[in-house]
Amino acid sequence: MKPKVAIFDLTDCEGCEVQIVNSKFIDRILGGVEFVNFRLGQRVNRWDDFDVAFVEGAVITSEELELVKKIREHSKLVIALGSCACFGGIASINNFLDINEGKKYVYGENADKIEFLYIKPLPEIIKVDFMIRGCPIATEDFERVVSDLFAGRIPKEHTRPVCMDCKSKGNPCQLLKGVACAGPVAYGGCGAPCPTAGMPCDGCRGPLEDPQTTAELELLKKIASKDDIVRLFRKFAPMAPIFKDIGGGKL
Amino acid sequence: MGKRIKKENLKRLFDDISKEYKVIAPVKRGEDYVLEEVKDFSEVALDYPTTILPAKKFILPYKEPIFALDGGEFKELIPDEKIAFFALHMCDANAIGRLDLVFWNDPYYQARREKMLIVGISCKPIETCFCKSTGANVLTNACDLFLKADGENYIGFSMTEKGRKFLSQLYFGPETVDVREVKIDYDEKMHLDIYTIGRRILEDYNNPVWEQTAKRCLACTNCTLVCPLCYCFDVIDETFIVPNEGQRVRCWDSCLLLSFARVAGGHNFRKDLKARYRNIYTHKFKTFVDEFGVPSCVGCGRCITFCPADIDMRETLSKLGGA
Ligand code: SF4
Ligand code: SF4
Ligand code: SF4
Ligand code: SF4
Ligand code: SF4
Repeated sequence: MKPKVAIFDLTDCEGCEVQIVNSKFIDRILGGVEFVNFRLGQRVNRWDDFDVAFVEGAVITSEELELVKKIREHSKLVIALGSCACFGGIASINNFLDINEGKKYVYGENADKIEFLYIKPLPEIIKVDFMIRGCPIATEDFERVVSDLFAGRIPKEHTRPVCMDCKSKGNPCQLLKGVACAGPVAYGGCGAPCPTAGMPCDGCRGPLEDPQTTAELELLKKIASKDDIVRLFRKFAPMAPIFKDIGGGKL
Repeated sequence: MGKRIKKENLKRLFDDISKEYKVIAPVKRGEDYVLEEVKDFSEVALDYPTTILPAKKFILPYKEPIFALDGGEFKELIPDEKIAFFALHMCDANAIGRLDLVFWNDPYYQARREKMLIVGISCKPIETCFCKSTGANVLTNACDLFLKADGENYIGFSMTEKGRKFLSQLYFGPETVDVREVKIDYDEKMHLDIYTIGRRILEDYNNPVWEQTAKRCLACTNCTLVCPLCYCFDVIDETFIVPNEGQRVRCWDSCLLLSFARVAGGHNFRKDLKARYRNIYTHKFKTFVDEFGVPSCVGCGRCITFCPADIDMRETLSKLGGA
């Protein structure tokens, strides 16, 4: 019997799911599993017990909070898909701001009707077996994790900083140009699309193991304002360990 | 013995080489210079400070599939390409000579190396250069052909049979020039007694310089990636969803990473960045010297130029005393 797989999305942009559909191996994936529940990818969906559930997006409403608990109960493995699920994502910038003011700005009179919880990363709400990081995820990372699951292996974490992806492409360094870049402390494996396109890395995949945070901050303080540093780490993985402190102003 | 070649005739040399080889040469990209495949001589930068990545980018690529599993069928992937490096600096050519000492037995490296042509060119040493200290400023047979600047023009020297083939063409000479020794000579900003310092590393293992420098180091690995003589790799298996298709890849690694010295069971021989940072020096200036008689550093200065944290290998070395 094919493994039963579900892909759920909470509050997010669905970009990570698009990255899955983009896989050049999508036929092989479809051939190997039964998607029991995949709202973006198919019309007919149902609840069942899942071998693997991927959860994309941030938990913002109490309804979503209940949903993730239910997913956990029904799944052998839960994998957080993308930085919204892993680290709160872009929406969790609100954790640092006055949410009532924000709601009033966007929804005007209806602001009170809008629910917006303090956003916690998925692993702080339910047990998560593995995280596929990134905003959006790299398609190759998804393929790697699926390959490992098929082979019965535990997926391996990347252990390289974004700088390694970046310099392997021969890019000039943003830091040397005086532009604040999170690459040295950021979890690599993305292929460094941002510095390759001439922009700094915003650390969307969260921190690397053993990041040299003190040295990085000392260096950044020489080339960027405190506000810019705070904003850099508050962008895509605001609730990730370490980034959360820097984004909160501890530097 | 050399033979003169007029600057305007370098194009003829380049075109001749292009007929036989895929030519890799320095080109200007934005503010920087990079090594790239070049088809048109006018793109070649003959006068350049240094390239971001060295020739290693092509000899030991970042990710190199070494065998594939194709529908359960095992396939060895030996590279088949004829590369010529055109206008490499002396240090970078000699770095390949030192890589040869390590990879003499490696089928993937040798498949490229045997067919390779290396054409060196004179450089203008920059502030970060210390090739003299490492003994890599002297012409060796790592270069098949070397173009020594001679005013506006060049004098060609061939060091191998492959190089002689081009030196015997009509755009060189015909008369020969008597030059005893070809080397890059200049006043180094900091001259280092590398061999003495190398011996000091183990004797002075807890020198405060390791702790002090590691504090500023980002462990970003840039210095090891841009180094023409950092050749450490990891081996990774990739499967393509189905279990009978995939490949084994070797991929650059760096001793600055926490994962580098982690072994099965989770033990790590170099948990502290201090120990990892020191390892660069132990390897380059002590153990490599013990094994091969030269340091695994040619003083190209890239690790200094491209370190975002402004860490200067020469300063670290000089603090080990012995100089
Ligand atoms: S640009 Fe950023 S990611 Fe690239 S090497 Fe520099 S610090 Fe690292
Ligand atoms: S370079 Fe940085 S911001 Fe860009 S995808 Fe990679 S981790 Fe994310
Ligand atoms: S250690 Fe530094 S100076 Fe020496 S060869 Fe490597 S990059 Fe060049
Ligand atoms: S051990 Fe470190 S210094 Fe030596 S070659 Fe490997 S990466 Fe470079
Ligand atoms: S380039 Fe500089 S900061 Fe980065 S690992 Fe090397 S010494 Fe440390």
